[in-house]
Parts: sequence; structure tokens; C-alpha cells
Amino acid sequence: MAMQIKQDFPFFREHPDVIYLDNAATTQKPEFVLQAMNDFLVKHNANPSRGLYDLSIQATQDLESARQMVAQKLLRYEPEQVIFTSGATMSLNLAALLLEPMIGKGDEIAVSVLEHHSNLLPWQNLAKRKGAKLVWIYPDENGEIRVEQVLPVMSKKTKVLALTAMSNVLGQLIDIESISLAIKKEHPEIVVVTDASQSLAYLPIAAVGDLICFSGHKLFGPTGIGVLAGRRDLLEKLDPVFVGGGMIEQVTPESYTAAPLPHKFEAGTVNVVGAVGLEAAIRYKSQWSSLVLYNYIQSLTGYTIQQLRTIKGLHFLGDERKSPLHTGILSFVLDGVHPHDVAAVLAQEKICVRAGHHCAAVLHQHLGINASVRVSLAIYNSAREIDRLAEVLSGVRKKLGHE
Amino acid sequence: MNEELFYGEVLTSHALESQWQKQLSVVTGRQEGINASCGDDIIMEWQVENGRLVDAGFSGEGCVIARASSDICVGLLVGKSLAEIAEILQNFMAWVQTGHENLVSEFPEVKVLASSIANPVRAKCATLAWHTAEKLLRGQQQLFGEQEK
Repeated sequence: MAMQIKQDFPFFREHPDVIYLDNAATTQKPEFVLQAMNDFLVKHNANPSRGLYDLSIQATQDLESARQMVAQKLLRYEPEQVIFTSGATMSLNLAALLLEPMIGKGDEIAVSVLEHHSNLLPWQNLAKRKGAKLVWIYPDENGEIRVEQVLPVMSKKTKVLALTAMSNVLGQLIDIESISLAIKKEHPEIVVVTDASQSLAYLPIAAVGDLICFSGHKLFGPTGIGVLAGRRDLLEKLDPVFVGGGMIEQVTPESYTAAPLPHKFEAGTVNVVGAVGLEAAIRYKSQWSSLVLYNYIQSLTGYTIQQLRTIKGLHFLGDERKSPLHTGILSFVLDGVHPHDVAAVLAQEKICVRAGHHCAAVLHQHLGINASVRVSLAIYNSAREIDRLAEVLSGVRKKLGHE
Repeated sequence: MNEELFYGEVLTSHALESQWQKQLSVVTGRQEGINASCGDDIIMEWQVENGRLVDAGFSGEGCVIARASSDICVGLLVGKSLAEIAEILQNFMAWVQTGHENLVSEFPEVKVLASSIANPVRAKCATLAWHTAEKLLRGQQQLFGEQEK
């Protein structure tokens, strides 16, 4: 499967010997996406929703077609519930700003230690601004977060639950839908904000939580495009924080009225070419059933665990079982060798992995380590690449003078 | 040592067989240096007597480059007066920024760090000890400057 898919990616024609295992950071882009973006810029480029000429109308249609694709294929929402942003970080910051009026002194915002900094720092800031308190959710010993871990942290004071649907370090999927249903039985007012940046790369997703955020570039799309989507009644109730062109219904010298959804949250010209690229990425992926993709990554994850487990001094973070909830992302440490040095040795062999805390410093502190090495898989990765990874990894300690 | 040492023998031996990776019994200044995103976390200790660095050491966690750089930095500074240290650090930082080799012609042992410094990600590892030393120097100047007054 992987060899054939690789041919769709011009990056790998340019770099045939690169083994790219940093997909949780960003994915490569298929020709289909590049072509769609190129076509848009060459054939349709104009500012959407503004001009009265054919090209602007076409650009508007392209943007709205992308919105519809995201809404229906990824989220099972209506298009009006999908707001384009520049990426997940911007979406999560926007979510925190939009929810600010609902937060008061002494309220609680719940986050987990698994969160990427982009789903932690905006809430830290919000808590500071409003005199609210961050409360923490910890995973069980396998790195999993389920209803049992979340429910006891919720209280009458909890206004927001900000939770990732998949750790970008441990690779554990989190069933936000069940968690959301369970906590809302007792606390219907809590707004659940889901960071789906990693989970969407591996799973098709239904509308979960109240607000959901992700980036296009981890899903074979371009950088600079992301989504904030959510429950219609909630989005309708919230006031825009960014204002300007394109988001208004009426403007007087004194005030304005905001446009209806989704435009009221899209001040300024939207990244249309990015949206077009994201739509193409979703189309590209939909040539396979999501089960086929999931199963492929699942088997490759299992194979990677099996191959790396034999390496002397290598310890996985979190769970080593081949749990169905663990997919695509594996992090580990190697005794006596700093993760940076591991990544540098791999880089010399053209194997791209991530080393450091992967923007999840709190999780690393929780695990009692400074840094780790992360391998993250995509459908163009193959078992042969994993064999090469294991081969190089098994020589790292020796190479750095340890054996 | 292994012949195939990855970063080059000089750099790796600085990290693996460091003579300055130690904790001091007499400490006049201690400073932590952190590269949060890499996970480098070193502690540098100085013992200053009569305006001169008589002993120093570093401990903590870091990659090969961070530790080698710490070893080179400490080895270079021990025995020097605070005024000399200020000049060395200034020249080192100017070299990092400009790449002009004449800035470090008096202490060529740092040139082994050049390729790390040229790498935008690893530069942080290679300069961590030197930034830490800069902070220590300011602290020591303040401490001993005030005593003289």
C-alpha cells in the first residue's frame, strides 16, 4: 500500500531516500492537493464573497465547497458551523477568547496533562485574566483518559473542558463523545472544547464536543488553514472578537451588526487557497475507506512497537500494549542517550523523527522526563522503513560511545 | 573510543569524558540553564576568589552538543579573571552571531562547535552553557562588586 501511495507525493520523488516519520508535526502533500491549489490560483483567484464579477463568485463557490467538504466528511455538521482559521493554534486561542464572557472569578477550566501547549496556554491565559482556576485531568497508567478520569474533576464551577482527542506524544485516542455525554448528564452547562489535530489524521470523526479545532497541514493539506467548528446554538450565542471586513451585516458610524454564521467569525480575507487545499486533501483521502486507512496505521503501529521493543535500553512512554486506542504515534527514550542525539543520528541516515517535548512540556514533567523521541506514522510509511529505523536505532548507543 | 563516533571524536569526547562535569564543594555562584524545547537542563557552578574563577563545573542533562559545549566553556573559563571571562564571552557571542573566526582566534577549541552553531535548531544546544555563563558572570560581578564597595 505505502509504496503505491508514495508515488502520489511529489516530496518523495524529490527525496526518494528520506524516511519521513514526523507526521504528527506535519504531513507531506499529495500531488492532488498541490494541483488543486495551483488550479485555484491560476484559474479562479479573487477575493471571495466580495466582488460581483464571475471570478469572485467562483472563488466564493470554491471556499464554500471546501467548507461543505469539511462539514460533511470530517464533522457531520452543517457548513455554517465550520469557521476557517489559520490553524489549530489559532482556533484554540479563538475558542478561549470567544468563551471568555462565560468565565467568572472562581470558575474552573479543566485541561488534561496530555494537552499540546496550544490547548493549554490559551486556557492558562484566560484563567489568569478572569481569576478562574485550571483543574487537571491525569491519564491512567496506560496513558488513557476515559470517563473515570474526567468525571471526578468536573464540578458546578467547571465551565470548560479542554481535551485532546489524541495525545500528540502517547498516541492514545480519547473517546471525547462518551466523555462529553457522561459529564453533560450531571453538568449540561460545561463547554467541551476538543483538540482534534492528531485524531483526525487517523480517525474519521463525528461531531463531538461543543467546539472542535484542527489544522489542515496534519491531514495532507497545506499549512495556514485550520478549523474551529461547533454546536450551532453555542456559536450563534457567542460574539465575535476579531472584527473587520467580511464579518458584518450592517455598519454605522457608531456600531455594527455581525453577519450570520459562519462569516461573523471570519474577519478579513479567508485563506481560500488553503481551504481549497484542505478540501482536496479530504477528497484525496476519501478514495480509501476510513477503516482501510485505520487498519493500515494500526498494523504499522503494532509492527513498529514489535521492532523497537527489541532495542536495548529503549523504553516507550505510556502504553506498550497494542491497544486499539493506541495508534500512529509512538514516543520513547533510549537509556543514556539524549533524545536530540538519537534524532541527530537518525537524521544523518535521512530518517526524520521529532525529539524534545513536542510542545507537551507538562506531560513530560508528569512522566518525570525532560524530552523524548517521537515516531509518527502516515499511510505512505512502510514496514521496510520501520525496519531501517530499528536498524539505525539499534546502533545509536554504540555510535555515541555507550557500549 | 568508538571509531565511528557520530558527532566527531573531539565533540563526543568532550561530552562523554568531560573533566568538568562535576559538582563543586565551594560555590560562589550557581546557575541553571534550560532549553525547554530540547530538554537540556544544566547547572553550572563557579568558585570565584579574588576576582578569578578558580574552579567550575557543570551537571545536569543535555545532549552531546550541550554537554560538549559546557565542557569546552568551563575548561576555557577556569583560571581566568572575571574581566577576561567577560571578554571571552563577548567574543564568543559575537562569533556566534557573525561567524567571524578572528573573534575566537585566541581560543580555537570552540571551533569544534561551529557546525552546531550553524544549525538553527542545534545552536541552542551549543550556546546554552555560554548563556548560562553570561548570567553567572553578571551575578558574580554584582556579588563581588558589592563586596568591594
